[in-house]
Amino acid sequence: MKKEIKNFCQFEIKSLNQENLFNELSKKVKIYDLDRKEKDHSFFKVKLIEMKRVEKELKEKNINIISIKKSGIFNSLITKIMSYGLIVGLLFGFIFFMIQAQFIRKIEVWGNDRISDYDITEVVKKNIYSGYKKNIDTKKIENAVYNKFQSLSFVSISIYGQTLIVNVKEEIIPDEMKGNFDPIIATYDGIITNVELIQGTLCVKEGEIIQAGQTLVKPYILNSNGEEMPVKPLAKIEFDVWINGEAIHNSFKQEIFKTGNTLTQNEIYVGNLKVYEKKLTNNFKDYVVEEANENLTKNNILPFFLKTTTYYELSTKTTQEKFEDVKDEIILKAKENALQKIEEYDIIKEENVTIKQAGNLSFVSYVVTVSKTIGG
Amino acid sequence: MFNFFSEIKKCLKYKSISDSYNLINISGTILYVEGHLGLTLISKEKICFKVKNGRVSVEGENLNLVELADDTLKIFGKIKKTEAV
Repeated sequence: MKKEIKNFCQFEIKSLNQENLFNELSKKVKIYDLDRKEKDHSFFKVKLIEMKRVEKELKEKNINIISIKKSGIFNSLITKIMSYGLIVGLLFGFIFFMIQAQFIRKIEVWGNDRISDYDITEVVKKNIYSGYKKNIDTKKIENAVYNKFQSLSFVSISIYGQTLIVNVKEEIIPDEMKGNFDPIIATYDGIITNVELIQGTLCVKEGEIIQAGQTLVKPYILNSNGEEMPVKPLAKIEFDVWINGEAIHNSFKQEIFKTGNTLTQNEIYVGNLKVYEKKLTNNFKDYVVEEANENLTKNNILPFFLKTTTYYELSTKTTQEKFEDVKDEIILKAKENALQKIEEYDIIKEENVTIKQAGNLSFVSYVVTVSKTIGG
Repeated sequence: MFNFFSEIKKCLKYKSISDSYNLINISGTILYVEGHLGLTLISKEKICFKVKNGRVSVEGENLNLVELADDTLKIFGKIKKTEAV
């Protein structure tokens, strides 16, 4: 007998009173090829699209479903697709990869500094059209980018995989063209010993005494019309710098010391309230005071504390020390003060000592002449 | 719409039975039933079903219920006897 449908599903069930089951089921779906093997064992078919519905119905009625078999052209096709799904998927994936590999996916810009990636990429995109690699005219893109940005000296387009690489080189602007230059300024006081001007306008000459902050070379040159043309000031200027270190000596020294005599006063407080005081008369002419507080209790209910004030008697002793006795020591001290101001690579050309005396005081000035160079 | 069984009943002037069941036995191999009201017995030798005002019993050998719908059914096999009770 020829079947009406090709795609169906065969259920194998076990249950009692199957007549009632099929009567109820047939009201909802059409049943085909009902084969009752035994009283409680049957096979029947339904359309494949009704499978889920029938299965649900049978489960709701607690019918024991032994097996479910699907058949038909559609089912076979689905099974085959599922069986060969991985292969088919890989095949489709490979085909997709091969197709998309023919297109540019990313644009990279190398070598740019002043021009942004975005600006260059936009120009490239306008000349790519579909992105299909075989249709990309790299020469045309190179020309388009080169013509668009005047500051480029070189443009090269290359394609690696799905990346289009735009390799550019920007023109190097010489310092002379950049415009804003600072003059060469003296950083120390000193006297110029040698000047070699390379570029700019010289403001000083050999033998001239300069001060820190003074302009040595101005950042321009004058052309034949007397106009200022900005240039980077370049010069090698050697100058001597005097670095001074001082030390003072007093022939009379006053030394203050504690005599060892002390006077101690005690006061007891509760909070800020003084409750006890032992006061003694202080007869010391010169003294220093030390105060100390000590808690007498360890609670906050009655916060007793003891305030101890100690007076130490001081005395002054005057001693005399001749400058001549310590002259070398003082000069050395002045020299150390001067050398501390010298930088590591400074060349010391000369050292001079000047001593001035006024009453008990002796002023020692140690001058170190150092040669320094600006530029070069 | 033209209906073969309705036309027969109309011609024979048995309008009162027009809403009952119909049975067609094709060469003793296929039995087509219209208007059944539910199965009462299924086996290889006998298939019974209810109809309006009664019950129909189909006897034979190797009987198969090839199609069962809400009000129609088809039986395939060697049909020996069809009896309305």
